[in-house]
Amino acid sequence: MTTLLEVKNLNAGLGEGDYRSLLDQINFTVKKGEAIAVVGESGCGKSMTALSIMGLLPRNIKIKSGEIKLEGVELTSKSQKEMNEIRGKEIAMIFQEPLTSLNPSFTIGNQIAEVLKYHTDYTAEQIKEKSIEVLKQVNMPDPEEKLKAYPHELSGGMRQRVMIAMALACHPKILIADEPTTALDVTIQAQILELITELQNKFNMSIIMITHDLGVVAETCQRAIVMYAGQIVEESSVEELFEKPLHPYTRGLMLSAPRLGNPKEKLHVIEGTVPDPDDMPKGCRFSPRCEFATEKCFAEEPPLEQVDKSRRVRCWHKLL
Amino acid sequence: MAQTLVEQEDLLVVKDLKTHYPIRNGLLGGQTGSIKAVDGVSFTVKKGETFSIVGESGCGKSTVGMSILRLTEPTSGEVIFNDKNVLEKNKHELKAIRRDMQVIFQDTYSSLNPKHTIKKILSEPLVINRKMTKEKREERVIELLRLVGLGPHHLNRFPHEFSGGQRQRIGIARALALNPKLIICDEPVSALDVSIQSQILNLLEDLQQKLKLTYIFISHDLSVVEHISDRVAVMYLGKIVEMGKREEIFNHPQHPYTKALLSSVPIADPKLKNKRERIILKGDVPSPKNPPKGCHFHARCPFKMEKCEEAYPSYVHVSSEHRVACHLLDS
Repeated sequence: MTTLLEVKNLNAGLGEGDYRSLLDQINFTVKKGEAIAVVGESGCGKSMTALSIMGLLPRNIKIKSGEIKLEGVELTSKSQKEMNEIRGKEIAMIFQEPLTSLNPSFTIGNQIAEVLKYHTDYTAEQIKEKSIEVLKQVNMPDPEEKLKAYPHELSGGMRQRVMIAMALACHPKILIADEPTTALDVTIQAQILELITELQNKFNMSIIMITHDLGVVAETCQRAIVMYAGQIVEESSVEELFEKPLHPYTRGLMLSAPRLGNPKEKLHVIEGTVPDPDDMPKGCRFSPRCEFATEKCFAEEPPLEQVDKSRRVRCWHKLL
Repeated sequence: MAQTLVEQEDLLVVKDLKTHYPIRNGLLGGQTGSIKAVDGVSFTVKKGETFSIVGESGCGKSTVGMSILRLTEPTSGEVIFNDKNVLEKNKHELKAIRRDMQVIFQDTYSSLNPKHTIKKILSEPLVINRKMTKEKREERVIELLRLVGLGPHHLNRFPHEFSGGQRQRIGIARALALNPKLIICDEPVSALDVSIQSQILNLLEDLQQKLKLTYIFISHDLSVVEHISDRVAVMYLGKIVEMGKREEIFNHPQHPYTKALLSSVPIADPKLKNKRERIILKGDVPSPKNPPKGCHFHARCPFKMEKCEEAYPSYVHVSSEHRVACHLLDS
């Protein structure tokens, strides 16, 4: 598989003089046609990573150093105008809350047409045809009628389908899905996840699935990156990750989530809370919450070490 | 998990509870219809148990909780708590009953007053309901904080200074202030991260043991419900479609909706991928404004029969505790 996207030594943070790091040395690649998960809890930097790829970081957050390359082309140095050409066409993104990402005062048809108008030179007729086609691809019931609907007239699941249809309109190479099913009910979540996987296979599209739900990772992705406090702590194929997590944080996450069909007497607890970016612990960032932490962990920050061909882990005492 | 000694005595009996919200429309605001948020729900909760209500958004699970507390006024039915009919009580009597029935909400940010310190938030129920000296009150507040894993150094802080998990601890402490018998937990961990969620779930279980509490646990998260419940009710469009002991619901579900719900949950085990029997439901939950005729689930049900469109199924008892409303079990 060829490498499509490469993120290299990405550092991003708040402010200019009084710099506070939010993303620290993010390194990963996305291959063509694969689904890669970025997992972690709130504040770990998973959404920030996605927004830096899209060039949509909030104004107060700046990329300090690092490279983001799409098929060898550097994205971080591109202007907003140049990025507009790439966003929606090469890389598309869907968000957690489809109601706030859709404009309430325009019809669905209008909003899908906008993407096509910007990136193609279709006529009005062709745009309409294509809009109906993409709505069909996301299994929207009576797509022609739906073009005239406003977002508030649709249910949450249907809105997310519209978002996916918009994202797919120009056949992007990469789809970034930022918690696409977190706001949806479980039966609707199953529909949307199935749809995303189906589209991935159909168009040989790469997916970056940003999620906090390990169940979603296991069911939709081939590879996973676990993030904690702005750093990648582990990377692995999904099978190996669940078979044998190497980082104590990954292990803790897996043990603390109740798993259906496997009720336990007592849930595992990761004590404490995620550190504040203003007050990062010295040494390993997970050390204050880690049950395996030793002197070394509190003093020295572990590097992200390559353990074998496809596995990396950031820990002094990896659970081999 | 059923570590507590569930007593046989019923603490709460809910009989044919209905909560309909009027739809007002037109120039004079006349009532043009009603949303049947809760439409004939009956169940009992035994002392010391955790009774869960699961379902998707809009199924009425939260309205059941609010109706029991009369934070929303039910339309009809009976709610008997400790042998007293809650729905017949006047304002004054209700206040006395509510001391024994408390609630924890999902959104800890909007359920704690941002202008009050933790001390004030936790003292308030004590000021209103108990005659206590100032010193006694302070002592009790510190005791409450310790109970939920916080300490006296948190007393003078404001809600925004805490993380989501800590704020939920404060919400729990406030609910415990008056030594209630029943706590209605409305999605208490849904807004929290996994690692914090397990801390709060364990805390709720410890408190239940220590203080002999009874919980009504309202949630959409089936894995959490399986972990914490003794008995479970599954709701769909205002009605309970299946109810039973935890093992019965999770290991031997009978209603097609329960089966579909369980099979939709993504499981964190790649080995099970593509090996599980998956029922992916088509379509969305219909509007409770005009629910489908007959069984509310028939439009999405993979096993639909003719009679499902005509009549709402009555309950069939699979075991003493386990009952299901589905025509498939009629024969």
